[in-house]
Amino acid sequence: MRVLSVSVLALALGFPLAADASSDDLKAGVAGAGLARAKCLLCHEAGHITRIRQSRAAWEDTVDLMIRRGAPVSPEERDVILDYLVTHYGENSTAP
Amino acid sequence: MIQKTTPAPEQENRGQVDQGRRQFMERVGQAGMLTVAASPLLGARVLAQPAAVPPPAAPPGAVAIATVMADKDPVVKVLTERPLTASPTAEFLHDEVTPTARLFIRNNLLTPDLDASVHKLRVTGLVDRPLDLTLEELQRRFPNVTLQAMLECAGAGRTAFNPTPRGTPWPPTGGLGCPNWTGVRLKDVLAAAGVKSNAVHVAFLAADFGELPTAPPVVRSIPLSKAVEPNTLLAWGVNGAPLPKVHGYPLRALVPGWVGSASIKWLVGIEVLDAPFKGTYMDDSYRMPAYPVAPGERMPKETVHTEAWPVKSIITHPSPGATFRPGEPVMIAGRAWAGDFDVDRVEVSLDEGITWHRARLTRPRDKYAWRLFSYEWEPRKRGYVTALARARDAKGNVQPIVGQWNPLGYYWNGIHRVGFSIES
Repeated sequence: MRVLSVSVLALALGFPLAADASSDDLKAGVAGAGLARAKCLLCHEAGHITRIRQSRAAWEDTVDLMIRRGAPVSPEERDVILDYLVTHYGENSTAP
Repeated sequence: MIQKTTPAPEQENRGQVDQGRRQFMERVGQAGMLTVAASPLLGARVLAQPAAVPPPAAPPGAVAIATVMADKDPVVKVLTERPLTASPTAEFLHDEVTPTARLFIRNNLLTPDLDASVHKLRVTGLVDRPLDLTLEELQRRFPNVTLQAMLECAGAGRTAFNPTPRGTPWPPTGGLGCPNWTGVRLKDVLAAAGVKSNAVHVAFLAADFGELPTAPPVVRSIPLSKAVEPNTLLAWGVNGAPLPKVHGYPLRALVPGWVGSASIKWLVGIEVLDAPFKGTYMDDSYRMPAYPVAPGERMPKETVHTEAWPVKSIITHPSPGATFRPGEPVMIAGRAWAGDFDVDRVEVSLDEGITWHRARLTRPRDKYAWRLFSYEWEPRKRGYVTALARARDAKGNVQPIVGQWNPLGYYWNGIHRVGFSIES
């Protein structure tokens, strides 16, 4: 993976990367995971999501903002991704 | 200097320009921004080609993260990679003038690999004489000025909020710096263009592009009154050298004292408008509730733009966890600044705010430069001590104990506290 190679190069050059910036991943193998990973990870590393715990309303605002910022997500896909995010990164979710 | 290894998007993506422009025009049209849709400034806008999945480390026309970070001091920690954000914390910001290698990074999109020799700035909109200037023309035609000024992300310190809102996870003292900037005054450029009487806002258009062609361009407008403030610059230099690519090379806006989003990097266009620009970087983010809301609450309908930072200070010395000996004087020192206002005083407490001591305060070299405060304290007994600093501006505004929570996590200016030990 090219992203990984950046991290390796970064470490070789001696500058630090935040632990969550590239080393973790979105929860896989559950409902909605394929779609969420395919869409969110187009432009962001997983850490943007995995470090957040927020309510459905807040995830709605987040996903809708991403769509306004160009995320290629249909209304049906939006609902699937939203359920996935609320289930695994909701305000009461435990660590992934 | 970073060697240019990939063609600039202007050359690389020529075939995509028209498509990208059309898409932008459609978006702009949907937003009802006819003024902007009619603008020749859009001619300068280049959108990226669709990225492969997963995207390459550095898409064509963009600078790789590793290249950017190779120029940074190791104390500048990467917080996020896509988009790239990075910052030191307060104990590494003790220099009177922030070194470029320690200046924080906050990108919205990718770092574009622009070429200064072909770079142009277009000034359009409500002006008598639209301008189309090369960087060299800009530098030659207007008086050059160098001044020290604060640059601070709107979300600086965000992780100090509880709950922490989404957005760049800036440490409590991250996302800020105060280097020397060199450029021309925006007011001189606007005067040359001749601002019409119905002008209200001045929009900055950036040349950075995202991983997807659907990413809207970064545009932010500021009120005309701030645009003609003599410290508002179009800057090409930082600390006596050309801007590094990640900091806006070859040209950026510098709107000192205001949230960093106003200081648009990779500046290609200025458009004078009769209203604030409508766009995602104006209306979806960089907004505050019009009234205080409870922590965790959703953004209310009534919101306002983020503009000038409220009064704030950081303790840069001692470092957290430092140790001293009884009888050995400890210098409690740091920096204070106050948006559009002047800092009036800084007070230091070493007993959790029971008593406060007025710190010495240096004169600012420039209106928007932070000021050094210092208070010498002599510990008499061993034990753990927490230093607190609170600044007050000339209007009487004082730093709060805890910043006012808001849904997007802006304007954190709660009192900074640093713990250290006296060991006999």
